[in-house]
Formats: sequence, C-alpha cells, structure tokens
Amino acid sequence: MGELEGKKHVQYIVSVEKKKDSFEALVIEHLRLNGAYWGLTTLDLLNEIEAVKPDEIVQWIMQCQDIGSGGFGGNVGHDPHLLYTLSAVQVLALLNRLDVLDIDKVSDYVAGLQNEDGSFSGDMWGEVDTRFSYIAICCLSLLGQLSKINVESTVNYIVSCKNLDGGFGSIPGGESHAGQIFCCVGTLAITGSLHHVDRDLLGWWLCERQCKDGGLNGRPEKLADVCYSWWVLSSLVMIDRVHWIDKEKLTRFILNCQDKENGGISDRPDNAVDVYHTYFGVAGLSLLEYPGIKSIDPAYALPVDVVNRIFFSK
Amino acid sequence: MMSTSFDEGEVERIPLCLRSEWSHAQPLPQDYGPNLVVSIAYRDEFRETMEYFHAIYAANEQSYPALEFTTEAIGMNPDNFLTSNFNPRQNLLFFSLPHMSSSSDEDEVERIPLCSRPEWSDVQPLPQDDGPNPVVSIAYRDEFRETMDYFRAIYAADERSCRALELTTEAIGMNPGNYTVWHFRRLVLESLNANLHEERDFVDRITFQNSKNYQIWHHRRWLAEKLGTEAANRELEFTKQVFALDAKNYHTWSHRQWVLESLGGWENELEFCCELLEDDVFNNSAWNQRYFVITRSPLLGGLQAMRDSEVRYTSKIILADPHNESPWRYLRGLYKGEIQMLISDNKVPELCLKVLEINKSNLFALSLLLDLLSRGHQPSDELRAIIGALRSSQDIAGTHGLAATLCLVLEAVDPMRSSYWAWRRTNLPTGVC
Repeated sequence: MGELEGKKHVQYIVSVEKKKDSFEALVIEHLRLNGAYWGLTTLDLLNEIEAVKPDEIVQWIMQCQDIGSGGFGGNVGHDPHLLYTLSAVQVLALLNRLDVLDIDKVSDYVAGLQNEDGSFSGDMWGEVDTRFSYIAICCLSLLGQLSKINVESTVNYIVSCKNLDGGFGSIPGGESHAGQIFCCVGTLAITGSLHHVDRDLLGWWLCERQCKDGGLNGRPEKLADVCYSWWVLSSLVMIDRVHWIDKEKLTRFILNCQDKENGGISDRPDNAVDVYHTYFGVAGLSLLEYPGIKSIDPAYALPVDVVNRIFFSK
Repeated sequence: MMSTSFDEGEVERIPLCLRSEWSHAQPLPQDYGPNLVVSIAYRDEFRETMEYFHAIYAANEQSYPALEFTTEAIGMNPDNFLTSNFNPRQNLLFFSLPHMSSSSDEDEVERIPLCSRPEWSDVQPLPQDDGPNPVVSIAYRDEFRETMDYFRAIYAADERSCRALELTTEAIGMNPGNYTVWHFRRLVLESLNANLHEERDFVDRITFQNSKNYQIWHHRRWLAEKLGTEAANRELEFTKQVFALDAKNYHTWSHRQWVLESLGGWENELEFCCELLEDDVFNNSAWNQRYFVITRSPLLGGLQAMRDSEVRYTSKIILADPHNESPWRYLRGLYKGEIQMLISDNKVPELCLKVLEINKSNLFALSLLLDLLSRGHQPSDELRAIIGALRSSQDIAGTHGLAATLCLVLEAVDPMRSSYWAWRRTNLPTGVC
C-alpha cells in the first residue's frame, strides 16, 4: 500500500494561498473561512498546526464578523451566514482562541435562525436544509449555548427528514444522501438523540456505499468520491457500525487520490487536488486510524483533543 | 470521468488524440494573450478536451461526433454535491464557456473595462482589504478583480440602482458562488421593484451553466415564492429541462419537491417519474421522487391505496435487471410499517426466487429473503430447496438454519461487507428458520 505524504500535504496547504496563478484562490474568495477550516484542521490532524501564525488568523477571522448580527461572513466584507459562522467557531476552537468571541452575540445570531418547525435557515434569506440544523447544533454546542434554542423541535425536524431506507435528506422527502446523513446523524449525536436512528438499517445503507474500487459514493449508482470518506465514515462511527466496511480497501482508495509530487488530495485518483478534498481525505484516514494522524471527533469534525479541551477543562 | 449512471466503475477514458473519429481535428490551445495574468494548471485530460472544443467551436463543426464530444466535455465536471461553489474545475469550465458562448443566446460582446465606461466614472472602486499581513494573498484575473472592486464600492454605499443591478449580473457571471453578490442583488431587485419575470429569464440562463450552485437555486425559490402559484408550471418545466442534462441533480430535485408542496402541480408527477425511469432505471433520485409522490400527492390516495400497483410495477423492473439497487429498496419501502403484510405476502419471496433463477447469487434477493426470514416469514418448500442448493454450491459445511445459511452465502458472495453479514448471522432472532 502507498504511504500518506503528510509533509507534502502540509506544504500544499501552506502554499495554496501563495500561488499567484491559482484559479482556486480566485473563486473561493467568498468562502475563505471554510477554506481556513479545511486547511487548518488538516494541519492539526497532521500535527503541523505550528506551520501557521495564529494571531494573524484570529485577527482576520474577527474582521469577518458582521457587527450588527454577530454572524460571520465567508471573508472580510461578506454577509453573515451560518456556514461561515461555524467555520469561525471551529477555527477559533482549533487555535484555542474562543476567548476572543462575544459568545452571547454569536449564539444569538445562530439561535435567531431557528424556524417554527425546528429547522434552521442559513441566513436571513431563509434557505432551509438539514445542513443548517447540524451547523447550528454543532456551533452552539461548542459555545455551550444549546439552551438558546428549542432542541426538541430541532430533533423532531431531523426525524421528519428520515427516509424509508434509514437515511436522511435535506428536507422532508428529500433523497437520502451521505452528506445530509452526516448532518442529521451529527445533530442527533450531539443532542443525545441517536435512538431515533435505525442503526442497523442505516448502517447497511452506508456500508453499501462502498464501491468495487474501495471508495465510497454518496447515493446508489453514483461514483466514489474522497469526500464521502468523511460523510459516510463519520456517520458509521457515530452509529457504531464502521466495522461493516472494508477499511483496508478504503484506505487504499484515499491514498491513491493523493498528488504525491505536489501534495494535496483529489476527489478520485488522478484528478486535480483541492483543499476541501485534502481535508476530507485526511479526516477519513483519521477515522480509519491511519498511523501518524490525530484522532478526529466524528460529530464535531475537530481533533478529539480540541473537543476534550472545550468540554472537559472547565 | 463521466458521471453517468454506470453500475460498475467508470469506463477508462481514451485520449482524444488517439481517437480515430477526431484524427481530422487540430486542437486549439486556449489563448491567454501575451501578458499571461493567470496561468492555469489544467489537468491534462481537461486541457485536451477544452483544446478540442476550441477547435470544433472555431470551425463551427456541427456533427454528431461534435455533439457527443460536448457531452464528454460537460461530463468532465464530476458531480460534486457539496463543493458546487468551490470546485475549481467546475469554475474553470464555467470561465471557459463565456469565451465560447456555447449556451448563451447572445453574441459574445467584448468586455469594456469598467474604468473606461462613462456611466461608472463617478465611482471610486474599493479594493479587497486583506489587511496588512494577508493570511491569504489572492491573484485575480484583471477583469474579475475590477468587477469585484466596483461591486464592493456599490455594496458599501448601498447603492440600489439599475447600474448596480447590471454590475451584480456581471459579478455573478464571473463567479456565481459569491453569495454576498446574490444577497445584494435581491435587495436591489426589491428596491427597484424590478420585473421578476425578466429576472427569472436571467436565472434560467445562469442555472444551466451552474446547476450545482446553492445560491442560484435559492434565488430561484425566492423568485418563485414572490411570483406565487402561477410560477408552478414554469418551475416544474424548468427542472425537467435541467434533468435532461443531469437527472440526479440533488438541488434540482429539492427544488422540484418544494414547488410541488408549496405551489402545487401534482397532476403529472407520477407519470414524470415513469418517464425518467424509462430513460434510466438506475436513477435513484427518480425512485425517491416516486416514493415522494405516492406518499404525499393529494391526488393519489397514499401508500395503502397504491401499494399493490406499485409492487407490480417494481417487480417487473427488478426482473428486468436484478442488479439495480434502487427498486429493491423501493419495494422494501412499500411495506413500511407493515411487517406482517411483508412476511405473509407471497409475492415478495416469489419475486426473490424468480431472480435467483436468473442470477444465482443476487445480493439483493438474498438479502431480502434474509430480512423476511429474520422477521418470521415461513419458508415455502421451494425456498428451502433454493437455500439448500446455495449451501452446496458455496461448499458450506455444518448444520445451519435457513437464515444463517443465507448469511454465510452472503459473506461469500459479498466479501467487502463480510463483517456485516457475519454480524447478521450472530444477531438472528431466536426461533428463526
């Protein structure tokens, strides 16, 4: 089996912003905060968080906060949205700088996006998706502010998105999809509501995602993609069914998606790499207990030592 | 590389330069001009594909190979559900397309820099402030940089004018993932009390080039909400057009479901599902939609009323191709909450046995039979015989009940999930055959 090119991936992440000729930088300007989360979490998992300077990052993150609402935008001058608010909180957690936050203000922003039926909108424009339920729950839990929302109705909404195959979609009736399943199972895990999941039924659906090439897809009859190494795997771990997939084959698939010369990981072998897939590949390998990688928490999507620091050092 | 619905792994792509039907074409490399602001690292395949595309487009070659070729070019955009606004390859394709105007109705107009346009002469563009020590330094293509600088100025001034609207059109055209631009566009549309039908025409065009972009679909929904129930048919028709290009697009399905529930239009939905399944019986999204319709349509009577006809429909499809995962799950779903009915209805085990006649070790048939036995189904003589035959063919030694035997067979024929089948065997309820 090939090796994980940890050093190359670190170099790739650190250098990605220095690439002057990168279209990647061009098109992700508005979601740079997500990019920071993917890049920095990967560095931490590879034990290389020292490769960056925390003060500058913290300063930049706080500039992304919208003073009025308390939410965070994807970059300086962008409108607030749940997506970037979670990334901000996660990166600050990684850097052990949650102290810079006005916790009430951020939490009020998140709590204010809950709807009557328990669902969450992504921002003031009202898009509803179970992704946002997960984001809200994860964010508020990390900040210790779950009491600001109606947890029961949150859970009820998630349950209403459960499908006949045991999976979950983005809205009630939406097709089961591994990404949405992660969000729903994560929400239930964090709120102590996993009893709503039919673990055996869902576990089987999830392990059926493994394709002949060892990779995981996101729904029946689709191609494998490295990012599902996270969405499917973390879901399996949370419902304690990860032993139902062939771990060795999956590990090999992820390692084959590396660019061994320049670093980075792509969605499938021989494709162009990006920070997003680099993160999900490394996070997947973490869940597979690949040596040399820190353990990642499947629900919070942060290194376990970071999560422990937040919950157990009070 | 093509994300079509093969049930096996992808077909290996043959480089274009080796394909005989393309031997006449001389590929044209992308011309970035003498002062290359941005050098782009294309993956070789993608680069080659686009070079050929440039050639056929320049020659205006309207042939069947050209048509198939555009399918391949479009297919190089792998379906990447959650990175629709991030995947650089998708945006590379998008950035290339305006230069080729492959799907726009108007002619390619040469872009005049904003600083040269008289109607913008009063504006002082605002550069992106990355702070004194940028964590991330960004290289913009000049046009994009200029457009976004002007956008930031207008946004900071909260200018809700016609030219602001046009500017967001340009910004969106260059990077449709930028949600702040969309947000501001909505504010401008509201302030101008703009014609929402024209807006919808604009969104229609943009959607085809960016069908996996969250912001566009959300904007569509916002528009449809404002336009009300009169928008229902148009939205259903539009999603149908998108499905013609990508029948599994998750965003499109979510939108269609929302339209049905909020604005109506259920009349032809089941028929629509039938059509899609005729096109591609492996389309899991269409199966999901079918379940959505039979359980939620106010016109059909619900699952109970539809069960028999749906079991017949699904059984026919399963027999035509028993390797298709979706109809098996659908069949199981038809008996949701009705375990007694499931285990006592002979139709289901008979179907499984018929499948095993065609395909001895069909995973789904074996798995469903295991489910039935686990839940107390009383096996027929025929079922006992089939399991006996399977036991012999897999050389399974020792005495095991029928269900346990099935687990052992499944462990052998589905080794990737052997842990799962082993677990099933150790967790069979007591008293099971």
